Amino acid sequence: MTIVLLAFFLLLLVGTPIGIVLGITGLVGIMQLGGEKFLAMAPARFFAGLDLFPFLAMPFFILAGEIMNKSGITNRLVGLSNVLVGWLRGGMAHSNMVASVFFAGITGAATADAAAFGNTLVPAMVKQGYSKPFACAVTAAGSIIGPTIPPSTLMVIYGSIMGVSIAGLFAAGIIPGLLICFVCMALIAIFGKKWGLPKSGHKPSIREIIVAIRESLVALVMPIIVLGGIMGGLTTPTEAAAIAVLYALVVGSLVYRSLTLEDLLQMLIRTSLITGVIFLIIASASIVGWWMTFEQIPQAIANSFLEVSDNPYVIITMILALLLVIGLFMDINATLIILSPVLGPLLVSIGMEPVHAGVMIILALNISLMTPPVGACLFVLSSVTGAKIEEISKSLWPFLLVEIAVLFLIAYWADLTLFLPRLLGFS
Amino acid sequence: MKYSLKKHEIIGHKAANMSAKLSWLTERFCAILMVLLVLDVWLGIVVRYIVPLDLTFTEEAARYLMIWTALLAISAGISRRDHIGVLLLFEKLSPPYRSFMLLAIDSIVFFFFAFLFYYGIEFAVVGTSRNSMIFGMSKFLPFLSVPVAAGLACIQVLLVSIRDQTITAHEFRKP
Repeated sequence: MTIVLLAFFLLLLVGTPIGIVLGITGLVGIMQLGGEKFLAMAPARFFAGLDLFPFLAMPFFILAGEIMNKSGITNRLVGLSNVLVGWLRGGMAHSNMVASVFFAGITGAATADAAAFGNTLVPAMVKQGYSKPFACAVTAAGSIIGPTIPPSTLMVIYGSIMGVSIAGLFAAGIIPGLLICFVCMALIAIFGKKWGLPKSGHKPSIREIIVAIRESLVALVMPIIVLGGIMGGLTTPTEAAAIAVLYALVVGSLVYRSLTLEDLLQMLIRTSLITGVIFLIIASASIVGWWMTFEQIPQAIANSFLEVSDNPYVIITMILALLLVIGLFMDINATLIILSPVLGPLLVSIGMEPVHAGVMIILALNISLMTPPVGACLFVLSSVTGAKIEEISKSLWPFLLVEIAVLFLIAYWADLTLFLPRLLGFS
Repeated sequence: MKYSLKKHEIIGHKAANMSAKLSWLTERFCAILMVLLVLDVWLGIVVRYIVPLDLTFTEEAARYLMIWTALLAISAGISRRDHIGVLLLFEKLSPPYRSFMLLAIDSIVFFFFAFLFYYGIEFAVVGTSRNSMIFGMSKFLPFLSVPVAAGLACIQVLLVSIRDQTITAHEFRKP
């Protein structure tokens, strides 16, 4: 066990790609178990880790998001958001948040949101007089709404490996996602008043709102098709994702006429590459996972938690603290795959609903996407806008605090998360 | 004054060229597989909801196409250095140490994929005597994705390692 942990931290520290860190760690663990005889099982574990039909939803949602984004949908959604909330003090920052909610219904990845808005909204905000780090901080804070509100690739992974209803997770993610948007907008309102942040336009008339909605209607329909299909029990998440690809293709090529074959080729390649990176982590984590199960490590971790306290609130607090700390250093997909089989059953054993436990774990990991030093959204924003990570981090901490507060609220108040899944019959 | 390339730079450029070409091919093959994957799932939807036909292969074909696509894409990701790690310590190193560390990391990555390639062949052979649950096809072809992808990844690691140790500027050498 010590050698395995040593191998893990050493490889991680020197900068080895996460997927390889997990794979080698798993091999070291397997070697300790039974030598070469067991090593031959590693390729089988590597393959089996990916051999799940629900995983298909992941590349499809990525592809649909890529196509919609290329179709110019981002600008239309920003336009609609600006009409709705741009007239408030700190209007562009509010628009950024609301646009993140709309965008979340199309793409399930926080980095896609950060890249899209880092390119468009951050320069626009800077032009209006916002400081670049603050504009980036608002974008980073909003970007984690992407994988919280469905469709969410993280929910697909969690649901697939834990056998929890993906539709239920999708339904449960909506209120937490909206809540994050709401508290961040409240924070922006306070900053707006304190710093005299600019407004972005006048209070819209009903007619202006209708025109803006009409212009972005095609984009707004996509989440309705996807979520309606899944939550209505008509389609599986994979089928819904495939339909989303078809819809995005029709919108991009026939409605907005902005897609070329070369664009499509590049998007297919990019989707394959992103999937390759994520799937290497998933497949390698499957090798470590097998070793952990064999060594009964999940039970040992669960017991160590229960030895500290049997109070559910204390256990939840410890788990959230663990996730937030690990999220500071570890890749979100790897953490989700390795820790879910450990923490999910533990949370269920203390009385939490599986869907509630899943959303809580995913939200905690989402928050780590915007925490230094390895928060993926920070890296994306820094590379897209040229702002330094340290500067963004300084402006980010108030948003971080309120989002952590939402996380604890979600964790302790089950009814808030489970309201929609119960309403739709998933819990 | 005419600048002539040193021998190791020529090797570096050749490796970079080969890596880019191999990646170009792999990426396009992945794109084709991805198109087939989308079409397959659409077909599955059509036969389930619109035209009820007895086509049972769509789900299994989709899974195996997805695995082939994702695993092959790993090597293209290596060519672009897309597989990221935690670079806190790495970025603090001075250029000569950074190069040495990069070489060490590439060796580790190579070892992992060489292992998967070696044992993956055995795994694929085992697949010849197993059939898939629904369609009943031999599992050799799906299982073959592991050694093929691992072999390609090994070649790419070698090529990018030569490229980055020879012609990539020190400040841009990253795992």
